Amino acid sequence: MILKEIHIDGFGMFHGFTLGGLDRGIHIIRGDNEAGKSTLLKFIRFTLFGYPRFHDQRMPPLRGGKHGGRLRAMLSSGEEAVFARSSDDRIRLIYHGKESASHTLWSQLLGYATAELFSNVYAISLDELADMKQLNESGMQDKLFSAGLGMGKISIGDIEKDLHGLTEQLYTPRGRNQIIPGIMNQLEEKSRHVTSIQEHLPRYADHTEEIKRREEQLQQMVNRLETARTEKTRLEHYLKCYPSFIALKNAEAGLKELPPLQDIPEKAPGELERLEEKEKELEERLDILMNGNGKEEGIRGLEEKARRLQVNNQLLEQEKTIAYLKENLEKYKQTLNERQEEEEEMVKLQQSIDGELKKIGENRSEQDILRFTGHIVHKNRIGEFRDRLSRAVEHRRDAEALFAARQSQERQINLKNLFVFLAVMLLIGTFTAIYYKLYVLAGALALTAAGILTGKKFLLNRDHPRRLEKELTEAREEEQKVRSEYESYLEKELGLPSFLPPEAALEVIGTIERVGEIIAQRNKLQEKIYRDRLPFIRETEEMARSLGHLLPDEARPADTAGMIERLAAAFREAATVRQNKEKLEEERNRLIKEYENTENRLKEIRRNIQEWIEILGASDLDDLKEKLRVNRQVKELMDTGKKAEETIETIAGLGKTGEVVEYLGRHEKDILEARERSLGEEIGKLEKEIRDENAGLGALRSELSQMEGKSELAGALTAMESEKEKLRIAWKEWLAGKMALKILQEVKSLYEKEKQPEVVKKAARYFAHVTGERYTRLATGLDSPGEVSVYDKQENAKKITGLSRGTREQLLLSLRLGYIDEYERQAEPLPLVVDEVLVNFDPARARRTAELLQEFAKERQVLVFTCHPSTEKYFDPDAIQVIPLGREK
Amino acid sequence: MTKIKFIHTADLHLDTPFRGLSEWNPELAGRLRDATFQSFRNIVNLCLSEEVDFLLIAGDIFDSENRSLAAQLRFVAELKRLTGRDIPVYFVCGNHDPLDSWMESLHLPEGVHRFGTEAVEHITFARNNQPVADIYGISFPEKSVRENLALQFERKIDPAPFSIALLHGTVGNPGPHENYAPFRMDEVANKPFDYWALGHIHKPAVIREAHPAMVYPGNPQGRDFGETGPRGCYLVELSANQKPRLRFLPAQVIRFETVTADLTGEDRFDRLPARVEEAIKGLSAYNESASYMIRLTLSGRTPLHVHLNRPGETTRLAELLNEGQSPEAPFTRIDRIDIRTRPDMDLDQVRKGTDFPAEVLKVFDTYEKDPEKLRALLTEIEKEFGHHAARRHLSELPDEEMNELLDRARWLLMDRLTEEKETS
Repeated sequence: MILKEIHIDGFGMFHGFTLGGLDRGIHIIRGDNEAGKSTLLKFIRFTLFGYPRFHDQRMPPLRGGKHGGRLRAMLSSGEEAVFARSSDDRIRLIYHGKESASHTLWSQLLGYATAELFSNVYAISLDELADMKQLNESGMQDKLFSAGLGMGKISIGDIEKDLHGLTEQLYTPRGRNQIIPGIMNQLEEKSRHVTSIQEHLPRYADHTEEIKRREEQLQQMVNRLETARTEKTRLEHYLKCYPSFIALKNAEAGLKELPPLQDIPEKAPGELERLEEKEKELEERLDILMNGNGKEEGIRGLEEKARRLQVNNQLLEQEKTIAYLKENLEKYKQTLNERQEEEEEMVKLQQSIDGELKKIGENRSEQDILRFTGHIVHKNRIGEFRDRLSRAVEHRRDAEALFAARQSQERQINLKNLFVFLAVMLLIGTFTAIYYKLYVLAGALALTAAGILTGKKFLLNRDHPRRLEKELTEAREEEQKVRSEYESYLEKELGLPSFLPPEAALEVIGTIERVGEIIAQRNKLQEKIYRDRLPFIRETEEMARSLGHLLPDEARPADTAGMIERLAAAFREAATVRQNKEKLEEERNRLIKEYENTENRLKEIRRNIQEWIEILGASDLDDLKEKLRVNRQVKELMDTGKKAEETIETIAGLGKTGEVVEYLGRHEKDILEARERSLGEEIGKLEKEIRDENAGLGALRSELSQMEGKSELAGALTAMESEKEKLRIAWKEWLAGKMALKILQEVKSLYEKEKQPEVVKKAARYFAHVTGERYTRLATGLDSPGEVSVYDKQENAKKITGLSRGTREQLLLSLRLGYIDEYERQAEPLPLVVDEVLVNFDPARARRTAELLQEFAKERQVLVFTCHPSTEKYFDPDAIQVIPLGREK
Repeated sequence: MTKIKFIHTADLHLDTPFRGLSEWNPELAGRLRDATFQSFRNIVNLCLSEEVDFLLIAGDIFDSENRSLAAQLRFVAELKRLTGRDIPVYFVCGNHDPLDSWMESLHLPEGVHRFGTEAVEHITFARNNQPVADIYGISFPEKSVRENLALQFERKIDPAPFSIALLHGTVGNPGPHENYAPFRMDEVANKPFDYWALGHIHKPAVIREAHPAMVYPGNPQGRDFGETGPRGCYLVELSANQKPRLRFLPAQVIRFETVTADLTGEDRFDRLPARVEEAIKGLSAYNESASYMIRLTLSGRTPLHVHLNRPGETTRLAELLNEGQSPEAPFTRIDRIDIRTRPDMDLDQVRKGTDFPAEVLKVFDTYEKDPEKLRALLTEIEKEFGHHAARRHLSELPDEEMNELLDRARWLLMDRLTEEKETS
């Protein structure tokens, strides 16, 4: 088909875009990048073949409008059709004047071409040709071949490589790192694991057997151990019995030597012994009683002691008196002291009296003092005198003072005159002030004058001198009178010297008073002594003296107190002596009593002993003892024997004594001991063996239970199965890949046989044209199927690699075009889209390529997209239509 | 009225592997490994919770080929849980676990009865010393037993109120591979048994509802993508003069399912997980609290086709769909994704053309129409595969897989041939 008109409602950057006037031939669609060239191409493709599903590929309208558009085309049949499609794939086909929405018709009109076909076959791009540069021979061949197949951009070789890669990844012969061998390794490993688990089953039965066998073995060992132990125990017992055995034998031997056991009461020896002891004890006791021992006094001793004590009875008879004296001793002493004190006091008093008396006067005596009475009255009188006297004196003095003072007043006249003078001046001043009408000042001055005058009066005093003198004389007379009275009183009433001042007189009286008192005191004291103290003292001394003879001279003190003390002490001593003596005698009596008792008991004991001797038919005590001794010995031996037997029975068991004795009689001790030792060793060995055996059994048993517990089998088998599954999947994938390759190969051969010759023929035509008839023939090689060979005019074959790059590109292009030619033999043509193909060609090549395209476009529509304006110049201007896009729009 | 209640199961296949898993995922390893045991455990739990009178197991308890110790030992351990509560267990051996493959030293607890191989035995189940049901059974002595064992079942004189036959065998005519102890329905329908407890067929099926009832409980845990759908056991209640009550109880741990998500018209990759989830939830008897192992197929014409075909894309997609599953919770795991999408391209359109892709398509068509030609091509290709060790594990491709292969090859080429090269 030929596109006549393109109308875009909304698609990418296009909105309400129409491009018309398209026809057969070459259309150069020129525009900058981003001018919309590829958008336009996409629009054509989407509209013809459908919008892609993925949102980001659909080119939604950026500038508005309904997403979609339409193409008006002329089909190869000459008919026109309009293909309208919107992005939701709603189609509208206008054909034969009728509208249709039939996809089938649509496809049919397009000759069942697919979008892929359009993209791969009907589009030639720059990079496709550029790829030729990098390929090697086989790469190029593949490209050419693919081109020839109509797989423009898709390389058959690449597909084959890809599929090979897929299969080889899974498996190659002798390959070890591929997936399938890997899976096999895993599978084998897991299979081994399964086998190892499965081996448990037979092992289980074996294990059970083994355990059973060893248990029996163990039991035997245990039995042997038991036997050995029993025997060892038995030997131990025998050996333990050995000492007893010996003892028994010895006892038996001993008994043979001795007489048989006599029927002596059990207690006899004991009794006898006791009696003897008792006898001895009593005898000893008697001795002690009589003679004493270190600790005790004997009777004799006591008697001696008592005899030696002498009692002073005389003294003792005076008990009462001495007691009395002793009782009053203190009082006596005290009384003595008191008297002493009192006498001293008396002396003191006397001294004091004498002293005072002397103070008063030499010839004063006590009588005088005593005669003196009425102290109080005198005192009062003198007091009065004193006061009067002092008053009179004072009065006289005042009068003297006044008088003297008046004398001095004369000296004060001048002072008085001064005051008057001042006062007068002030008055003058006052009148002056009044005259000048200064009343205030006048007032002040007047007041001041008045003040001075008044004050003068008070400041000065005047008394009349004569009066004063008179007063003075009176005062002196008074004083004299009083004094005379007083002196008279002193002399007559008191007998005191008159020159005594009152104070002194008072004092004397006081002294007299005092002395009187003291004398009284002294007298009292004296009486006391005579009355209270002396009698008692005398009595006591008397009494004591009377007893003095009772004391030895040397022990007789001089003083009474001492005597009394001595007496008391002596009395005490005597009393003590008497007491001691009495005690001794008492003790003696007691001992005597005891002695008698002990004697009696001793007699008794002796009698008992004698009885025994008679009873037991001995001749005497010694004989009896001997008998007893022997019997005891026999008894002991018998007991020893019995005990030995019992011990043996205890150790060996009831009733076994005879056996043991018999056995021990037959066997030597060392031999028995040796046997015991060896048994001990055997036992030790057996025990160890048994322990080891148990350990071994324990290990076996735990292995067994482990086997029972493990249930990994299902897991291991499943793991194995999953490896098998993986293997299957990998293998099937490999098969599929291989199948694809094979079928591809088949199709290739088919194509080579059927289609390729035609394609190549057509391509050769284009190639010859574009190489300027240099290479006239193309053929597919017969030696290497699929390979294109180039022949020149001379029929020389040329290798592809021998061609220049440009020529190779043109070969490729020729094949592509050749294919399209061949394709369109049976199908609806489509516009060819050429994209920037010329841009890297040198001018010559570019021109030739342009020529090729022109040739091709004679009956077809070719759309050349470019952004280079220079592209146009390679074309014949008449053969092209230029369509600018972008800015120019 | 006399009634008995029991659970019937078979084909435990303890400790056998899962097949057809693409990737052995260590996270799931534990759960998968234990799945067969756990499903049997679930059945035992059901016996206890339903307080059944007894349990019947119709053979194939384990696979003797596996030689799994754990299978036998753990089986016995589970039985003890029933015998401990006075629930007896009666079972026969099947072709996978014939009598001679059981460990001699394996001691079956008191209350478990394994039927012998010499002849059909019967044992009476009594309640309070009253006979209530006779159970008849016979075991496979060795692996292949081709004789019709069903014919040997005869009811005894003086029967108990109910008679039950326990047999591992194939009813009908299943084909040469699976023909163990075959019998025909009409042969046994007239025998005076109330219930035929069958085993061997893994798909649960009630062959016959009554007079007698005949049931294949199926295996309680599917092991590959051929054993899809719910799996479990049957709880059977027989009452005198009444139709047997048959109730299917699911017991499986993991459900295998194949899911196809049609992506026609889908052009957004981020919507794939939702589409896939939709497809999974669309499974019949979809149970949110079950665990699923899914083989996912993406189909339909979609522009995502190219994207999906990129190397590693399916792995990534599977990882994406599988992530965020807690190991504790029930899981839904996409084991594998098969891409059966087509590009947004109409092949018929291409076919009508005359270019190279059209030619390729035409050649593919010839192969599609001629299976023999295809087979020949395949044979030729296989000759190039020289890894003999691997070859041993690979079986011959059946026809439909061959066509799948052709289709794959076709798309390998078409995708590359029609790749759009953008014009600059």
